[in-house]
Amino acid sequence: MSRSKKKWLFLLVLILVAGLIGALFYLKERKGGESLIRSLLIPAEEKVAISLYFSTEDAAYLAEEKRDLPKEEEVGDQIKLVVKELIKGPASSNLFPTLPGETVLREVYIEEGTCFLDFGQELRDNHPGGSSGEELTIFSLVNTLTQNFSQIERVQILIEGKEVETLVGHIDLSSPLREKKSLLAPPPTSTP
Amino acid sequence: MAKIILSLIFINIFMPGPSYPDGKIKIINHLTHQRTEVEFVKVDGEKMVPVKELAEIAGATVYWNSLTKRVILKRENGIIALKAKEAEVNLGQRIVKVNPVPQLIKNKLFVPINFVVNELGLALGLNFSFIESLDRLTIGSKDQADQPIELRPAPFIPPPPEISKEEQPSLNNRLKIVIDPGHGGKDSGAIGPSGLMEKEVVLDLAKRLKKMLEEKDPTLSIILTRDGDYFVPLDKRTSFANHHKADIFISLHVNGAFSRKANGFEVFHLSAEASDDTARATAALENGVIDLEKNGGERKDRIDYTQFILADMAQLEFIEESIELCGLIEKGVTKKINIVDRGIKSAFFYVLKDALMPSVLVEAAFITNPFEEAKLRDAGFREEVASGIAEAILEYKASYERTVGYTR
Repeated sequence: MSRSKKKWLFLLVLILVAGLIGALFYLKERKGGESLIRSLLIPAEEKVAISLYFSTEDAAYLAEEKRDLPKEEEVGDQIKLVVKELIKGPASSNLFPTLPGETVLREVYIEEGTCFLDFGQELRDNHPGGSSGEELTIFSLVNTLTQNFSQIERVQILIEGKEVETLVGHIDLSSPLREKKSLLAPPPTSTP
Repeated sequence: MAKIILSLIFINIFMPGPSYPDGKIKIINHLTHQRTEVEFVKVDGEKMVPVKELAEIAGATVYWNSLTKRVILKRENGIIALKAKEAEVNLGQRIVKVNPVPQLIKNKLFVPINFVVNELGLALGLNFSFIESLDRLTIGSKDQADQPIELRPAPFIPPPPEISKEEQPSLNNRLKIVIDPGHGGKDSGAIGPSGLMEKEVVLDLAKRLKKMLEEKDPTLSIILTRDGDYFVPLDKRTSFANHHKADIFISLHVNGAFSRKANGFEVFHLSAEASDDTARATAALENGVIDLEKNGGERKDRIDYTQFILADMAQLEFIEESIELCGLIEKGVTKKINIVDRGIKSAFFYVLKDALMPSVLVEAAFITNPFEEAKLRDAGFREEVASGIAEAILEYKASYERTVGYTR
């Protein structure tokens, strides 16, 4: 191989690599691109079935929606992924979101069975309010995490790294909360 | 015949008759250097004393609910709730049976002096000792427990307990209702699709409800936690109601949700389920898992845990009454207006958890639903909601006046 040919080949590889990196960056910025990259880079069998809880139309209950998510090594990363799916909202048209689309999850901490979710101010600023709305937001997080992660018994919601009295003025958030089973949508025949 | 009459006289002498009081107990308070006395009555041979008076003399904060006839005593970290005919009393770390049961006599709650000496003192951080033969009760602080109290010179003089004249029976008979219009000021609450704000709606509702109740029953005393558009922190609302020793606390709200189709009326009470940590902690204490003696107060979390139990206790005492009030409000309002009845629900509300009285939170309709937002704008609709709640309160009052009577 001549020297000039080698040079051309090197340049070609360089362009290809740069293009690939560029494409990855582009995809990452796009909505849902991150999971697309994951599905490209991670083999299909590395998935985990997660039950997400969203609001029913009458905002009286939480109903389950199953979703296959990429499996993460670290529990903290897996939780972040699950919360991000909750922020995206339900796929089913019968169900309604429980978190504003603008919600930012800043950090996740786990301490002796309690999971601390640290959200940005956006969660509060974009919340529709009301006792029902607030309760569904809180327990979609609490019920989803306690259902899917055996090591999580309780969840406490923080805003901008701080403990808060409430999210929008009703439900006490000053201590960690357990799953609230009474919010799960009952089968049609059961009594309230 | 003479025999029968004689035996009747004999029975009359020895049966505990309607005489009141049976005698007086002298009280020496070593904490305030006060000397006073309280009446006692004898039930089954046991001397019973009026617990509210006694606790006030001992410097405890006393809440007397004139409607439910329940007494709440608070001192240091201790909270105790007592009610006529309720034998089981929750002392935080454990539950004890009071024998004879607390009794309502002449509108005062009487408890056995043995209960005061053996249990009440300990729970409130006080040391009571009673000399039966002299009918003399001495009050000291808990750390004086092992000392011969009467020989001990007083080490310090704390300020005397505040027993204001206003809290005497004449005003106690006036039922106090605290109405709490939710949100306000910088906190608009939920906002409707066309911009109606929760804080405006609930303030107007509260004013209507106050006016209506005052008109229907002039003996009621109605106080609002806010009467304008300003911010009031949640804990201030509850402590306001506690400070005024309210008999009923009603927090007024309108609902919101992500789903614009969500609609209807609902009434909430505080949930017992959310405080399952309390139950667990109490059980742990009872089982000796957390040994108070061994830990000796060294660990910070132990103290926090106990305080958590105590802080949660008082409101749980009122859940039954609160549920009853919820039912009446649900019925009262859904009878007046055409609205979906979402029923009675429970949640762990910040504004209700420390309320020392029956308390409810009303969610009148969904402001996030365009149709219900339009209804909430309508003065006629607000008037009907207020009148439904007003009728429920009056019915609640009447039902207690019927059932809570005198036991003697």
